[in-house]
Amino acid sequence: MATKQQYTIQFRNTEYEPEDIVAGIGRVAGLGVMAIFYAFPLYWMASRSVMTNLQAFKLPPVWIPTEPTLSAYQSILLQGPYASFLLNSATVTVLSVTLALVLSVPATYGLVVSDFPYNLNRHFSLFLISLFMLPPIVTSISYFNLLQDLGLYDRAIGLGFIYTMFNIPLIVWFTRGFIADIPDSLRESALLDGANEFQVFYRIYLPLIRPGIAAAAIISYIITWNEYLLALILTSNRAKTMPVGINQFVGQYNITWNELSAGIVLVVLPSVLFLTVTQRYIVSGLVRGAVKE
Amino acid sequence: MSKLDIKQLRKVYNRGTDTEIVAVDDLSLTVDDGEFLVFVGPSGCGKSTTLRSIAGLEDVTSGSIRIDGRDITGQKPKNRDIAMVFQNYALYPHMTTRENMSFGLRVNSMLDDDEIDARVNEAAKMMGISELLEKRPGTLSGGQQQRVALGRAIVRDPRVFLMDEPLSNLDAKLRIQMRAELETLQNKLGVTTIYVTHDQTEAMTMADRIAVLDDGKLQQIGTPLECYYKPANQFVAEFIGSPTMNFLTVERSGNRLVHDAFEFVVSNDTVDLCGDRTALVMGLRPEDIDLGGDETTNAVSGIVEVIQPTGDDAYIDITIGDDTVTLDIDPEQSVGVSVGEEITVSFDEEGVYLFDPQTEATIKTNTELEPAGPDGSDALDTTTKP
Repeated sequence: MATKQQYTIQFRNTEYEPEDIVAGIGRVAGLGVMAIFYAFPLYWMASRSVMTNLQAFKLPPVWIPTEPTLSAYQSILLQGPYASFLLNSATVTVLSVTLALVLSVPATYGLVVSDFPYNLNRHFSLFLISLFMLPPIVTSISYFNLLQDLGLYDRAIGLGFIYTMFNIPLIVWFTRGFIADIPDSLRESALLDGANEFQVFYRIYLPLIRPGIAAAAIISYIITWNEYLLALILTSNRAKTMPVGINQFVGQYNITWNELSAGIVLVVLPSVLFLTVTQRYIVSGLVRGAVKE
Repeated sequence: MSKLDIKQLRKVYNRGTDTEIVAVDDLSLTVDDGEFLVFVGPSGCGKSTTLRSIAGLEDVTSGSIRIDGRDITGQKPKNRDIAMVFQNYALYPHMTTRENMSFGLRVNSMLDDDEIDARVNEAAKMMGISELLEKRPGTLSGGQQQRVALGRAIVRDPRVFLMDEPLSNLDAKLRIQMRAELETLQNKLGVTTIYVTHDQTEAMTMADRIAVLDDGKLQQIGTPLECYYKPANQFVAEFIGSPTMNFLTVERSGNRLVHDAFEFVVSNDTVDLCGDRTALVMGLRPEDIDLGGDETTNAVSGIVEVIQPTGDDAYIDITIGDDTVTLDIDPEQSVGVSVGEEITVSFDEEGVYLFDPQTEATIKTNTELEPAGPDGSDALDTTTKP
């Protein structure tokens, strides 16, 4: 009986056929090109940040920093207003994300599990989520007036409150799926066990939706940390955040490339670290909200 | 140890809209202290809704629910002192077995930690899950989860147990084992129990009394044997018993019940029961039909369609006229029978049920078995509802 000759390659106890290997190499090469395409600007920025300004815009370009120096970081953190920009960013972000979580997670629980007449809970959830679709520029003038009237213009706390309003629908959207995924019978069982609604939320739901809360917190953290438009409009000097502050490196006659790069690295770094550690949660958060098992 | 009274319970969903659904319609019944009552019926018959109304998980539209005379109709679930076992067990996944079982005592009792521990240990011992106390539900098998769910219910020592199809997620073998265990447990604890199932076998084997529901209405409440031998109507007759009862449309002419394919002669007693009705539905339990019989004495012939041996029984489907009739016979008897063959079957008049085709009400039930109760009364005396 004639058998078809099979060319296979052994690698780590698995047999691969030639076409699999070609396809595999192609895939890796494709991904590699894409990775370089996306990662190069990051590399460029990071490498510029450890150079002197002279090196940073030398031509032909210096691809690899030969004499790395932290002088750019030193100057922006120790001189000038950038340290306070970073502090403002941190204050605004922590305030708004925390406040939004505290307000919206219990609210989402209520919206998902309770029966309002006329499906009001569903309509309200959709209304909240529709707030996403509102471009912030539309409401920015009102916010400007509002904060000025309240004496919160150019205050981190004022900007933090405004961001909270944007974070609430985001967190509701994210945690909704997680809460809806938990079988009603758990809540019913706990109610029959004698728990009140708060105990059901706090002792049953909260521990179970932690991944969802983490995902929501990370996403809203990143959005808030990087927000530019509202920060530009609602602050002038005292509460200026880093994304807006970075602009100051661009002067009328010259750009301090190395300091600009260092500033951007300082903005981006926390997000990158945060995302690297927590991307698992984010993926599950995105998927879980979308598909009802 | 409690008595549960349900009076004219009614539950309507989407009231006043086009999609109005009457889930439970004017349901009244009493569950005696320590009784094991099983609600049985097809899906959508209102059995789960009734159970959830008792638990307080659904608001009732009208009617009242009382435990030991205390009206609990509008009470919150936590104030009803009821424990419920859910179909999916509803164990808290982030808690160990011990935490699951003690949750109710912690949130809603004045007991201190030592007492709670003692009660959990005792309940765990009773359910044979002592070694599982520190494990999480995710690491337990279905049968173990089931035990934990039961343990969580009994540790609270509630007035009433509610069980919503608790065995339906188990495999067949384990289900039969748990059926017996549940019954033993209920006998030992003596807690008034209401059990919901769509499985008539479960209902028959476990219940003190069965409440058969259909379309939100109570069809019959009685002991398993009452429901089996003296069904209140055609629905109950069809629902209780496996394989299901065969129904044949017949026309009565004097003492003769005339079917398309045969005639069956009945006694004057049966004729009296029929009154002036001529159109009838004849019901035959598969096990009341025997193979063989003399062609001249109430025997019927039919063509064999399917033979299904189950081991200790054999089910044979035969066509009689336009109808298919299932027989439940000994497997030895089925040995000589082959598909396509014409065979003769017979049945006694005692085993024949008759129903009114319009109202589906029972006209004649099985008259063969009249076992007397312990006090000499008729044990099968039905307390039927329309």
